[in-house]
Amino acid sequence: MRAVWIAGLAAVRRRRLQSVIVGVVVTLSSGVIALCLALLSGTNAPFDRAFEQQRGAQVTALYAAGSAPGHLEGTAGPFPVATVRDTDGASWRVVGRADPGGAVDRVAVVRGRWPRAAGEVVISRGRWDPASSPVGARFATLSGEPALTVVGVAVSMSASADAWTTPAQARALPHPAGDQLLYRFADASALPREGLISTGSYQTLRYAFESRLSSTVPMLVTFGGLGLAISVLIIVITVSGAVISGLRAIGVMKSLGFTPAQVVAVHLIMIMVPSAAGALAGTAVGNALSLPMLGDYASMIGLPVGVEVEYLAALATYAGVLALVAVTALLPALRAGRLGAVQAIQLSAGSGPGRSRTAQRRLAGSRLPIPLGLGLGQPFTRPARTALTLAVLVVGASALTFVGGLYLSTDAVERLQDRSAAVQVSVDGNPVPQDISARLRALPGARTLTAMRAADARIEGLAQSGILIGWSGDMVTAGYPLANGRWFRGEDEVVVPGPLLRLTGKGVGDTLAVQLQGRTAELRIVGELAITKTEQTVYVSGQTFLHRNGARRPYAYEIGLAPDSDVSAFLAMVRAGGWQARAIPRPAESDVRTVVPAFALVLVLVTALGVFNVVVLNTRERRHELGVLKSVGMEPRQVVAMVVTSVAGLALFGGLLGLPAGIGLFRAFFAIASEAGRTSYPATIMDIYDARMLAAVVGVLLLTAMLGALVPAGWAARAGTATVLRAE
Amino acid sequence: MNAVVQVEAVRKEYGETVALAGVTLSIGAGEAVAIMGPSGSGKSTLLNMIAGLDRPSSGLVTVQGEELTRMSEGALARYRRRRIGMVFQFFNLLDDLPVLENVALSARLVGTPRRQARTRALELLEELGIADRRDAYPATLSGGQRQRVGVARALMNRPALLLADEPTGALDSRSGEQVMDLLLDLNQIGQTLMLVTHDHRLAERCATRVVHFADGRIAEMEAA
Repeated sequence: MRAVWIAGLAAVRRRRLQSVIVGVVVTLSSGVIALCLALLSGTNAPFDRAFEQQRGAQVTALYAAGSAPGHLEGTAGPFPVATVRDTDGASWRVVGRADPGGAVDRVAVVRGRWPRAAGEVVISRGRWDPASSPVGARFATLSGEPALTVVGVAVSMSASADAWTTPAQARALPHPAGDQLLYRFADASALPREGLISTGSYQTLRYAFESRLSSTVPMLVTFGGLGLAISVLIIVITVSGAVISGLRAIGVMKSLGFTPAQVVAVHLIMIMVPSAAGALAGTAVGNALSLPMLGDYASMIGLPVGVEVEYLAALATYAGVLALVAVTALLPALRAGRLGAVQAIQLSAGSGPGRSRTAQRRLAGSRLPIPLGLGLGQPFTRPARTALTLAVLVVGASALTFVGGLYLSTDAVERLQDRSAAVQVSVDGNPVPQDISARLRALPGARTLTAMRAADARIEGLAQSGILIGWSGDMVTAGYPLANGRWFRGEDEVVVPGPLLRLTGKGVGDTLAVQLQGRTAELRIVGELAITKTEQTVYVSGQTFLHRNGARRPYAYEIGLAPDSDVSAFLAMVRAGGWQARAIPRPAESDVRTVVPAFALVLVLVTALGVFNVVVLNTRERRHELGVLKSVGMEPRQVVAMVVTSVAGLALFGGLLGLPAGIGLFRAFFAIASEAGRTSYPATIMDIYDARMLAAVVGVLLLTAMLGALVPAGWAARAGTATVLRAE
Repeated sequence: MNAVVQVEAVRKEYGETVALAGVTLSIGAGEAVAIMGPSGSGKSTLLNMIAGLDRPSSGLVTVQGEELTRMSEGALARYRRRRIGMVFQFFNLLDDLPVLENVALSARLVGTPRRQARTRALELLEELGIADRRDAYPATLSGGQRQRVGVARALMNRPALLLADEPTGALDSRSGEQVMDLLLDLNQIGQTLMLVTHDHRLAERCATRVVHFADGRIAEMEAA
C-alpha cells in the first residue's frame, strides 16, 4: 500500500501540468456548481422562508385612530399610520414604529438605519428610488408636507408600509390614516370589528410575489442547469483525459510488477489529490461568490436578505464533485488496469484501434491548406473525447442562444411597455373646465390626447369586481402591446388582458359578458393585452364606455408628447395650469439585464476553460506528431492554425447544433414563465431570433473556442522539437 | 568546393552539461559526411543545430549562406522545408495519414498545389520502389518500407542537404542494406548528405568523409 501511495504522490508531482490543470478545472467547475446550486436553492419557496424568518404578519389591519384593540398576544402594534404625497402626487403609507423588531413583522433594514428622531424616515425597498431619494437626502414630498430625511431602506415581507418613521413623527404628519395592527393568524374574521377600516392578507402578497417570480425561477433553474451540465462535462473530459494520457505510466507500472488494483489505486490518487484540493477551493469560492449574487437576487425578487449559504449543501457539493471525479477516473482506470503492459503503452501513443482515419485522410488530402486539413481531421482521432467536447460546445451554444434571446426579449418587453413619452393629467375629483381637452391639446409639445374613463364592472369569470376603462380621442396603444388580435375599432368591442382569457377559457372572437350598473353587455373580444399580469381591467372605446355606462367624467387625460419633447418642462407647464400631472415612468430596467450578461460571461469562461483543457490534452498526446510536422517545416503560425482549427470546426458544428436547442429552451422558458405568471407575450417576443443574432451566437462560441485553444496552441508551437523526436 | 554547411566554433550547453564544446566543421556540396561517436558525444546535437531544431549557446551555423542562429522559429521552419530533408531512426511518419499523404506533406506545407505535390510524391515513391503501398498506413509497412517513405518525404522539396539520424538504426540488416544503397545512389547523383550513425558499414559504404566525435568535440576526421 505504501508503494501505491508513493507512486501516486510521485505521479502528482511528476505530472505537474496535468495536476495543475485537473486542480484548476475542478476548482472552477466546483465553483460554478456551488454557484448554480446556490441559485437553485434560492428558487425553493423563497417567500415562505423569508416570511417565516421575519415572522411576517398574516393579517395587516388598519383601524380608525384610537379604535385599535390593545396589544394582544401574537400581534404587533398599534402603529400610527399617515399618508404622505410625493412630488409626483403618489401616495405613501407611512407607519410610525419605534423599532423594526418585535413579535410580528420583523422589518429588515437593508441600508442605513432605523429612524431615531422626528424628521427621519426609512423607505421600503420596493418603493425606493436611489436616484431621487438616496440615503441622507431629503424625501421629496409635496410642498407643505413636513421635511423628512431618508435614513435607511428596509424590507417587510408583510409589506406593512411604504415608509417608516418614529411614532411621534407619524402622529405629527398632516394626513393621519389610522392605527395599524399586525397579526400572526390567518383568519381575518377573528379580528375585532370595531373601528376596522381595512385588512390585508399575506396570501395576496404571496400571490403577487410568486407572480413576480414566474419568470425568475425558470430563468434561474435554466441557468443553474446549464452551468451544472457544462461543469460536469468539463470535469469528465479532464479527468478521463488525464487517465488516458497516463496510460504509458500504467504500462510502465505493470511492467514493474504492479497489480491491476494497485495501478488503479495509483491512478485514483494521482487524480484525487489535486481534485480534492480543487473541489475544496472551488466550493468555498463558489459559495463566497454566491453571496453577493444571492443578495442581488434577493433584491431583485423583493426578499429582505440574501439566501444564506447552506453549509450542508456546500458539503454536498464538495462530496458530489469528488464522487463525480472518482467515478470518472475509475472507469477508464479499471479498463486500463486490465490492459497488458505493452498494450497500454501502445494505446498511450495513440496507435490503438478504434481511431477513425478516413476523415483525417480525406481532409489532409483535400484542397484545404494542410494545417487546416490536419486540424479539421484531428477530432476524429479521439471520438469519445470529441463527443464530450461537442456536448460542452452544444450546451454552451444553447445557453448563449437562450441568454441572448432572454436579453433581447427583456429589452423588447421594456420597449413595448415604455410610455415615458407621455404624461398623465389627473382630473379625478377636481373641477374641470369644459374645454380641458382643447386646452391640453393646444399645449406646445402635445401630440395626442386620450381621455380615460373608468367604471367598476362585474366581468364574466372574475370573482371580484373588475374595471372597465374607456379611451376617447387618440388611441394610446404605445405601451399596451397586444399578444393577439387588434385594438377596438367599433362599438361593443373589448380588449382584455391575457390572464382573464386564461381564467375564462375565452379567446379573441368570443364574447365577454360585462355587467355595468346592473345591465349586462355582451362585448366582442377583439384583442388580448400582452405582458400584463392583472386580470380585472378590460378596455373599450370611449363610445362603447359612454353608451354602456352613461355619461361619466374622465379620471385622467394621457398626453402623448412629440418626439424629443422635454417631459419635465411639459409637466411644469401643465402644473402651472393648476392641474395635477405626472410623468409616466419608464419601465424599471429589469435585473435580467445585469444577471444575463454576468451569466453569459461565466458561461463563456467555463466553455473556454473546457476547450483549453481539451486542447492541452490533445497537444500533449500529439506532441510527437507536432514534432514531426515541425521537423518537416511546419511553421509556428501553421501549428497554431492547425490546433485552433481542430476546435474551430467543432465549435462551428456545436454552435449549429446548439442553436435549435437554445431556441427550444427559450420557447419552453417563455411557455413556463407565461403559464406560471399567467401572462401572454406578443409574437414578436417569441420570434426574437434573426439570422444576425444566430450568427452572433455561433461567432461568440467560435471565438470562445478559438481563444480557449490559443494558449495551448502557442505552447505547442513553441515546444522543443528535437527532444520530442529523440524521446521516441 | 562550395560549402553547403559551415559550422563555426559551435558550443551547446544544457545547464551544467556541455553537449558541444566548440565544433568547427564544413561540408561541401555533393559530399557525404558521416558523423560517428559514442552515445552522448554530441553528434545528434550537431545534427539538430544544422537542422535548425535546436540553437547553439554560441558559435555560428550557416547552411547555403543562411545563418541559422539568429533566425526566428518561423524562418527556421521555412529553412527546414526549403533547404533540408530529414531522415530519422524511427521514421517519424504520421500514423494517421497514408503513405502518399505523408510524403506529400512537406510540399503541401510549402504551398505546392495538392495535385502537383501528389504527383511529385508518387514519382518519388516509384523511384524508391514503394509506389504500390501509397495508400497504406505506416503501421502496416515493414521497417525498410517505412524508412523509404521517410527518405521520399525528405527528398520531396529537393533539399540541398539531406540529414539522416541513424537511418539504419531501427532496421534489420537486409532493410539496412537497401537504405544504404538508396543513400549511396542519392549521393552519387549529387545529393549532399550528413549521416549521424553508429554503423561503421554505413559510414564506410556511403560517406566520403567520416568525422569522429567524443565529449562534444571532433576527435578525428578521415576520408572514407
